[in-house]
Amino acid sequence: MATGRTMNQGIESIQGALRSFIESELRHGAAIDDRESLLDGGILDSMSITRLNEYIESRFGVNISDADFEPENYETITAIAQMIHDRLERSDRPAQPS
Amino acid sequence: MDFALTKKQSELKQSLIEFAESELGGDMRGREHAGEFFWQGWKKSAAFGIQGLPVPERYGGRGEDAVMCMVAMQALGYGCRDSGLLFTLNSHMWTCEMPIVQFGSEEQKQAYLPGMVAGTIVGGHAVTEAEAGSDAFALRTTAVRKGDRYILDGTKTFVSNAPIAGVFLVFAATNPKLGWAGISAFLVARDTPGLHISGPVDKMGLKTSPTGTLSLDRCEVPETAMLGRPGQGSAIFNAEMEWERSCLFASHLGAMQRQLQTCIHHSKHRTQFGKPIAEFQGISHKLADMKVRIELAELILAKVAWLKSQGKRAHMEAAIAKLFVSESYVASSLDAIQIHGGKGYLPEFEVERDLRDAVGSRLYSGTSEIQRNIIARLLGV
Ligand SMILES: Cc1cc2nc3c(=O)[nH]c(=O)nc-3n(C[C@H](O)[C@H](O)[C@H](O)COP(=O)(O)OP(=O)(O)OC[C@H]3O[C@@H](n4cnc5c(N)ncnc54)[C@H](O)[C@@H]3O)c2cc1C
Repeated sequence: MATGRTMNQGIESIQGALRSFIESELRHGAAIDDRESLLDGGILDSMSITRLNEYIESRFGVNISDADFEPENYETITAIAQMIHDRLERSDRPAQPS
Repeated sequence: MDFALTKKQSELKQSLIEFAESELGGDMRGREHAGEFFWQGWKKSAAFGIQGLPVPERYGGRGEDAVMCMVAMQALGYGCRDSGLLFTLNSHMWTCEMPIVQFGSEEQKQAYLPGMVAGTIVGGHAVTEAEAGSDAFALRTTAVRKGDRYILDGTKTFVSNAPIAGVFLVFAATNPKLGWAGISAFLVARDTPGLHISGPVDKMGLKTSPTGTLSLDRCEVPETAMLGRPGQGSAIFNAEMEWERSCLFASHLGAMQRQLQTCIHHSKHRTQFGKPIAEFQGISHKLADMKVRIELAELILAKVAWLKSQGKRAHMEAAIAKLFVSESYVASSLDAIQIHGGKGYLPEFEVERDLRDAVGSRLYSGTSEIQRNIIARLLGV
């Protein structure tokens, strides 16, 4: 299990990677704040989300089906990072003895 | 890499071709003239197990994977002259039944799947609106929550199967502020108060597949009618489009294979200037081009089927398949008419029907321009 400190560092580096991808690939280089709404602001659309999910899978090694989409998880860079972090944590956790 | 079909796939393919040729043709010209849906063919298809192909066995289906489903739909396209019946089957299976398999609650699966497999319930799919066609997620139909219910208001056009369907997958905005991310999907039964159905409307082709309009006028459904979760509508739509852009177009590939056989037969038997017209390069090159399109269409569809059966994303490949098959279908249908000369232009020879059907294939499931946009977007441009 990650400690509070390493957990925060983990999320921050995920946020950083997401920010770079979104700025370079979806925003033509324009800067974005981690708490800015991606859905309300039209930064993510139903097509770019597929590209973002492909990036997340290859960069972080987590499986994300496009079909799993829930708006809350993609609202901001912070929310996406939290979702990735939670999935990484779950895949790290040893299986519980039955 | 293995391009061969397994024994099970070959057997299914062969039995479906035989079934379709003997049971699903009949008086197709009469039905087409009358714009009549072939109920008997629909019921026979259900008895054969076609509607149940992708549905898990516990709901009465066969639980086949994407590869088997595509082999089956291609075989039907080859053997079944009633392209409208095939279109209805495909719409039912990939844009209503499959979303329930993939996103439905246990209660929804129990309520609809056994009937959809048995053929007692026909499914429809309602996203398009007068102002939201290619820009499907600009839809204006709303679903407003009221306690444990949703009230749907709006009008859906171009709904395949509308005049005969028992349940519709209706897309509506539950959070319009979020645009595409605020769209949800609902299963709306035909007898729901406030749902009004009109049609059939006449079309250029696919005349035996009835199309209509849905008006939702304070149409009230329980919250349990929502398929998936709030805001999941676009994900459901994209997932079902992957199925439709591959399996429905596998049927068109089957039709192109039948078309080529007919053209080869005609060009070997029709004599002009003292020899079979197949001996003229102007004709034989058309046949060769038709074959090239078929081979390439088969390859890209096989890739989509493989990706899907591996549980992998096939968004780009399904768009490429849809674009390539539909454009090829139009090109080959024009070639088929040309090879048949004047007879190709007469309905009684059943050559020109393919062209009328093929033109539609460049429009539904997203137009050719939209497929190119998808491919370009996924390339990052
Ligand atoms: C036989 C048939 C069955 C159908 N069945 C169903 C069904 O069951 N359920 C359902 O919901 N809908 C159904 N549809 C509707 C179908 O999905 C739409 O017709 C299709 O998406 C195109 O929308 P539109 O007709 O409004 O054309 P428009 O969107 O108005 O397009 C007109 C033209 O503009 C082009 N265009 C539009 N936007 C762009 C762009 N961004 N870039 C380049 N070109 C663009 C289009 O490609 C097209 O050539 C069916 C349609 C047909 C023909």
